[in-house]
Amino acid sequence: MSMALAELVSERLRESGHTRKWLAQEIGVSPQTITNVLSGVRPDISTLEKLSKFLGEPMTKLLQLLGVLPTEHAEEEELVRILGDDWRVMEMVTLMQGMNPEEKQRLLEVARLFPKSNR
Amino acid sequence: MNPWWLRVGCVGRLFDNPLARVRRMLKWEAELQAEARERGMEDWVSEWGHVRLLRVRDYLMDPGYSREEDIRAVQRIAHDVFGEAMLSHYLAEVWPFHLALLKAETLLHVLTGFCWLLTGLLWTPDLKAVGVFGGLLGIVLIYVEFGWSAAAKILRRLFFVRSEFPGVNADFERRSLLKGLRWWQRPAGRVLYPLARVWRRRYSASDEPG
Repeated sequence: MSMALAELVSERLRESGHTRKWLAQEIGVSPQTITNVLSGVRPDISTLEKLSKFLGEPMTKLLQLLGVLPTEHAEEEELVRILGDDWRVMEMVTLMQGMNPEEKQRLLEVARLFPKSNR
Repeated sequence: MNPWWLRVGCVGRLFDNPLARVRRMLKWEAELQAEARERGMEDWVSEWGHVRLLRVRDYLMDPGYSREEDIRAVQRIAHDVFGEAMLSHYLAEVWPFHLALLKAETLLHVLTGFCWLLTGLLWTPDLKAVGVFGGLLGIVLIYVEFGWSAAAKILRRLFFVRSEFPGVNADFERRSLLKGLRWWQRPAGRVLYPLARVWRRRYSASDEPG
């Protein structure tokens, strides 16, 4: 259930004086989809994109409202590519959460020295 | 065969089930990732992959009263980010420590509950002194439970990351651990961190062959 997003959509509808049906037509989804969102059902990615435009909020914010973890982690994604199926990925990702960008880069350089494990 | 404290903890899973939560989230995120892949949104495919990795990491850091078969089930669901080699490492290196910590945690919860139960049962004119003693002990144990929440967080994180990396020294580790605690947990964190570090060193040394 994702009530934080439901509350945001509901609040915007109330403020603008529009109905669920109007919103469904406006963003091109079925009225049932909007009903589901307002009941706390998690929408699919295309509905999220449309809601993001309607609400004027970035996708990252909507994802956070849905309980999805925060973004901005290019270094961590590279770690996975470098190390593959290796426990050090989990360790480094954990360490990186407390690091500044320079420290992250340094740790990434260290990871590049490790041999890639088999996937 | 699961240890007794995991069987006792089954009751807690009725109220808070980390496995059910992580399965639900991983399933939903996998659907979003598949949809992004179908639509050729490569950035989002990678993004969801990373979100799934963090989801699994958070679960593994504190899987609560999950059983070993639950960990294996999560690996099957999220095999793209949590491979066989990672699972083997986790079960060999981190899982035994999690079980040891959980055993202490369960004993503490049981003891606290027992003290309060005893106080309720013995609150009669004849046995009032015993009841008061039980109540006082219960209050002390509740304070211990509060302190434990900080200690457990630190210990879990310290035993989750056990490899040594250049540049990751004790000072960085302490800063980073304290940042992850709530303000009221930080004083306990400051005191406990050096002790937990020594314990980890001893624990790791005792694991080494010879």
